[in-house]
Amino acid sequence: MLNEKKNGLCYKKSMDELALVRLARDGDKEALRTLFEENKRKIFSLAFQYTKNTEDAEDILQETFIKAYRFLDKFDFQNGASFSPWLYRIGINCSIDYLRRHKRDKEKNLEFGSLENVSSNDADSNPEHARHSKEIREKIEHVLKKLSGRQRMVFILRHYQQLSTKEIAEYMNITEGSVKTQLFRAVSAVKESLRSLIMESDYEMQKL
Amino acid sequence: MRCKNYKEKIILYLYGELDEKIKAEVESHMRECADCGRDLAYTREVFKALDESQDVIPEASWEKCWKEINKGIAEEPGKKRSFFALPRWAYATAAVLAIFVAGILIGRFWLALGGKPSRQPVALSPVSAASYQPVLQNFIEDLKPVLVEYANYSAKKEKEVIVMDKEVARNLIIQNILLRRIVAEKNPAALQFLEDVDIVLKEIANLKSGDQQTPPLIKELIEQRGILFKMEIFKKI
Repeated sequence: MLNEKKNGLCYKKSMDELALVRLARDGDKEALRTLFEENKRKIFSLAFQYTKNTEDAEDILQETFIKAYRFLDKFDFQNGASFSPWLYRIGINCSIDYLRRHKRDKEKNLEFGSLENVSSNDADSNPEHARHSKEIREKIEHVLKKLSGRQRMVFILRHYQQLSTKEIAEYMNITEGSVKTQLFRAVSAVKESLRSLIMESDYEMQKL
Repeated sequence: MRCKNYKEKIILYLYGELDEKIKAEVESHMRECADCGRDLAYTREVFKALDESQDVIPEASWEKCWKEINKGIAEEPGKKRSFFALPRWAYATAAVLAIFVAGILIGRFWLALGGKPSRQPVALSPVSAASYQPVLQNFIEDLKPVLVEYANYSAKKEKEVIVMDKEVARNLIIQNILLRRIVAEKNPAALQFLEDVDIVLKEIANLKSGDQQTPPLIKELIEQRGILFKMEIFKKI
């Protein structure tokens, strides 16, 4: 199957990723574009879940790819490294850096990750449920904003990106123990913030 | 294990990250401890709420992003360097050194020739007595503009030009010394002409900035000794 390109050039989608990296490193722009296109969704979803803002997520996506291009020479072919996780790691770091750089500005102007522009899964016909769901999302966003960048990232990676604590530790270059501690703090904060919205009667009688 | 430790384990239990042994311990404790059991149920409910209220991920404007990425890549310094490429500071240092060396070369050769780079360094080259005529003609060609300038001297002459003339005069003095050695036995008339020129050139070389009295004297000297006239004669020989 061919992945058509606008300028007529094309690459097999199944083409070896490392071969594409080699071509990109030698200055082949189409190879670079193919590599980025295959990874853009994953990086963008992470950035969006982290910032809750499309424009910020696009900025992070761009920064990630520009940084990846800059460090393409340092990509380690020898030790059987895979390009996608390498790129994902850059995406994680770019997201944390971006939030750190822009948090102060965002707090002054608009709320970081304002929910006004974000739609949710709850295409609920029941207005009561829709309102309840919106309240929950607002609470979650509010509490996530209060977390440190790393805690927030650990929570996003574990809960939304569904990575294991071991994988998170590898991506973020921290110990698994540290990941578990940060995850516990993040989830505890979320639990605490939702206590008023989730009634005890909803869960009291549940069993294992 | 105390309840506090189980609260930490509840999260990992719900994420499916516990091994079978610890998982069994947690489940056993949850059945026995009402407080921890409630916490487990509440955490499960929170996770459910998180999942249900999850945002729909929009599509990135890829073409716009790719455009920006291309722009960013184009601005990246030092990318796609060749194997023998050097860091930017090395190029800057090399450029400064090149300018420095070029300055020395210009100072040595260009000015030594009286500002005419296309010419051979007449006075610095060993020249046989038989071939003094072309050398003398070259010297006269360098000399002429300076002397004509002073022959046409007026009080409005700019100081900067005088400074420039001083440098040229010094170089011509050196050429003149070597040329006189060559023509000494071959052409006494040429030797006399060169001695007269030497006096004039030394006056020019010793000029001080703002000196308004010496240039008219140089002009007079050129006229008295008929240097311009002789210059034309020796040029045609």
